[in-house]
Amino acid sequence: MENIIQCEHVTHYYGDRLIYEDLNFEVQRGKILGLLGKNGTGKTTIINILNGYLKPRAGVCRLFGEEMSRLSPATKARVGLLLEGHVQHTYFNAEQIERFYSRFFPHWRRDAYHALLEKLHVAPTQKISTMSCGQRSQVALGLLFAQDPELLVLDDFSMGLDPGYRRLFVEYLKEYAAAGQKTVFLTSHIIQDMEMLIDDCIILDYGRILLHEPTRHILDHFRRYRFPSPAIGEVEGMWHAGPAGDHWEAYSFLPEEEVARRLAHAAGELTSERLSLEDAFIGLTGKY
Amino acid sequence: MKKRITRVILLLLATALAAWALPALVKKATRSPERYPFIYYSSLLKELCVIDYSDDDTPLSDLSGKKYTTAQFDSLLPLLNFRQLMADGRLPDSIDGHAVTPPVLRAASFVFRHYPATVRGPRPALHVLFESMPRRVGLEMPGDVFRLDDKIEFIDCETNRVNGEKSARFQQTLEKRGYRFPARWNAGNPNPRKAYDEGYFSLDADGRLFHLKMVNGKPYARDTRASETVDVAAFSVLEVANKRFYGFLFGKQGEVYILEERDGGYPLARLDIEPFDLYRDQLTIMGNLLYWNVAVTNPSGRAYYALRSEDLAQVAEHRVAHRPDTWERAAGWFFPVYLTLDDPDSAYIYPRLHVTGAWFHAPLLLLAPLLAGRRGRRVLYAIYILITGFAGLLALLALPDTFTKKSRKR
Amino acid sequence: MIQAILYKEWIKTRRAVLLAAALLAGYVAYAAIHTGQLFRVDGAVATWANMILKDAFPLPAALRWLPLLTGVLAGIAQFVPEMTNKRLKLTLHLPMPERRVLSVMLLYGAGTLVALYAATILAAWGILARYYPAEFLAGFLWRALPWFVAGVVGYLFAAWTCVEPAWTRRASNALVATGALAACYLDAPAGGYLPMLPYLALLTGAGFCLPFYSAARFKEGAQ
Repeated sequence: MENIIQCEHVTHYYGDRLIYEDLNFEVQRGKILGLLGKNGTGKTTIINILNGYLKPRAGVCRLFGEEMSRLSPATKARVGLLLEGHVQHTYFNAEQIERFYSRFFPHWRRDAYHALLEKLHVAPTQKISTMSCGQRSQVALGLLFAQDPELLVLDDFSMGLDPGYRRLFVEYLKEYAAAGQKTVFLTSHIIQDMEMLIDDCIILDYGRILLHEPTRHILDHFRRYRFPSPAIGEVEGMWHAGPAGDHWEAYSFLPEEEVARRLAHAAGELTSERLSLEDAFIGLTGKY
Repeated sequence: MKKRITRVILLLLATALAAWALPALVKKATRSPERYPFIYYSSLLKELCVIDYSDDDTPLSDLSGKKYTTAQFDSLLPLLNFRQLMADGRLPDSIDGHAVTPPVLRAASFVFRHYPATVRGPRPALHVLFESMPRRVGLEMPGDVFRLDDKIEFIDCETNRVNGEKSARFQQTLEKRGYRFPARWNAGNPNPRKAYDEGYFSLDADGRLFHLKMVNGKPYARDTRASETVDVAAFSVLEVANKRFYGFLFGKQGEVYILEERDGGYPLARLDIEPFDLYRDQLTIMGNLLYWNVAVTNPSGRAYYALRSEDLAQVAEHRVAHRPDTWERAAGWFFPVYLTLDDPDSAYIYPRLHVTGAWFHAPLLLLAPLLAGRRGRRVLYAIYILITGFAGLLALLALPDTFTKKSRKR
Repeated sequence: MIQAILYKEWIKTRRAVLLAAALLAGYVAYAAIHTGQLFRVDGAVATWANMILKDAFPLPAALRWLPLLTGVLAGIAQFVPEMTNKRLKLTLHLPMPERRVLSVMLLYGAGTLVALYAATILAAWGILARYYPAEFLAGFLWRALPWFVAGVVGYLFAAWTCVEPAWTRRASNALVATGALAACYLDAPAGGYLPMLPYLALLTGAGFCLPFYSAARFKEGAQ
């Protein structure tokens, strides 16, 4: 499989504050990858580094094999970029901005843009600066679908959207990715949406990647275990053990029998639960 | 545009600005104007005397330092103080054997000044030719102006059109008198606040100096024939009350003459002073009936001469050397090179590079290693600061990425 | 693609450009009234004499600062929207070489200003030519030219300062800009600036290069 995104040994600091140390990952063609992490773990920073808008202290990222700081125009045409907050040129109106971008991309799909706008009742002459947050996001996403890029990089696409819009875009994105070997790299705060969407999952912790696994793998194997009392110390393979009401909780990828064996000293009945991606995320990163 | 190239452009620009603005500020803060004494020739003591008007009791002293009271000052310099003597009723009937009356004294007195900026600057392109024999007292603006370059043309103010008829008359007269166009330059005095008008002096294409004026509305032009004895560099018209001469003529060898008026001819009389640099030296002449007090100032100091009015022969001379002020000393310390855009001796604006040749700022070089993170740059920065001094240091500081990123490396 | 960039710059700056054009047109109209009044009240002879004796400037004094004002206005109108929410990322992400994108943007702004200034000079010239001979007109042009250069340089420096990502550097950029612009406003008689014009051209060239430096810093994420 071809690697569309490659990041090698990326280390970055803001001033003296470490953001990542020796970050490595890659995204293969046709995958939808979600970058999850708590606030301040550097999700947007990764997107900036990927697109050449931040020079990391060390390391290199490549898009379609080209180094991030020197992307050729041809490569840029293959990458659709959504900035955090659906930032766009707000002095245009909906029609003008479409006219502007259409000149840059040979396979411009005007219809895709207008279809989306119509669906969401945006008037073509409405100025973007007067639009609601949701409408603005439609314009920004509509432009990306019209550009029809091979790689979509979306920074927090669900920000400020109501559940209906979110669901709609998730469907659009799925359809888009499925239609033609498209690759999507996205971050989001709303992990519920991701569950339906992403193939692979990178979970960032402060300074490092906590986990990079297929979403399926997490949903299938990551469990929450409840057990009554005594506190356990650090147990190999168990995450974030702690009291929850009158019980204790811990998370693990291990099979249930193995967990039972390792928690043998924790007397009492052991129950296990399957988790949503959101619960899994909390299980992995902890509740602050 | 590579980042490194744009960074160098920014560094050069910031250095140039600092090399201009910093010294200008220091200059503004430290410069005091050179104060040369006011020196005047005493027709009684027969020597140059120093006058200090701020001294109320003894304003006058001679060069040996002997002081004189105000009353003595008035009577020792009667040609300077004749108005005061008159008011006191003390004006003598004769000075040095010359009978004097206030009108005679007044008519012979004049002040002439030359500044280098008048020749180092754009020259006026349009001129005013007054009527030399006005019917009424005083001069009136004539209602037209003229240009004199490859032809002479009068332009009417009201209509903004060339007065063809008048222009043709003057053109013909000039041609008839042998004037060859185009003109090199024209010197005149367009200010109507003067006793009378002697028109213009114009250097023609052959380097001959012509006198041009308007008499009773008719053109008057003459070759002064000054070019037969002098290679003329410049002329400055001065309409003195006693009409003895037309103005000052500067030769290319540094000679200064007056162009006299005598029986329709234009004899030259040379001032007995050292060669004069039109483009660098300031000249002040205070003339009176018997003596001319000449002061020539340039960067090295001021020379005072007293000339006999009659034949312009030197009778006394004195020099005061220039003393460097705080600014000039500071420049040597802090600014091995600096820029100025203007110059008191020129009306033109453009960058002038000054090399003081003093490199006492060497301690600044120690800062170079602190500034430059990468080892290779340290030498480069040190050399840059060595050449440019404080200006370069400031520019380096003003630039991003100058400092090391040491603290960030782990 | 260049046309698309020009289209974007026009949509973004049209209000500011129209405002600048209105300011300049208003000035020209005022200059016409001013000059007419001068000749009616003081008379042609006194006015011309004033020009010769005092090297007077024939137009209202606001011309000194008007080009700079419009230049900085244009720079701000064009580049502040690029910097809000770091939209310059979108612009630099366009499939076109980054330097070309920025060049087109700067040439649009500088070209628009030059066109406005040229129209202003021509209009003022047209008015003055009725009243003054060519020598005075040339003097007017030489006197005013550094101010118009200051307008273009001020625009470029405003762009440079806006694009600069770090606030402290913006301050030092503004300082450098102020110093460089001061070189356009020294007292000189008409024609005194002639030998300075090649250096002002150099300054304009440098001003064109500097936004690329800030853009490179922007791309590196300098703070």
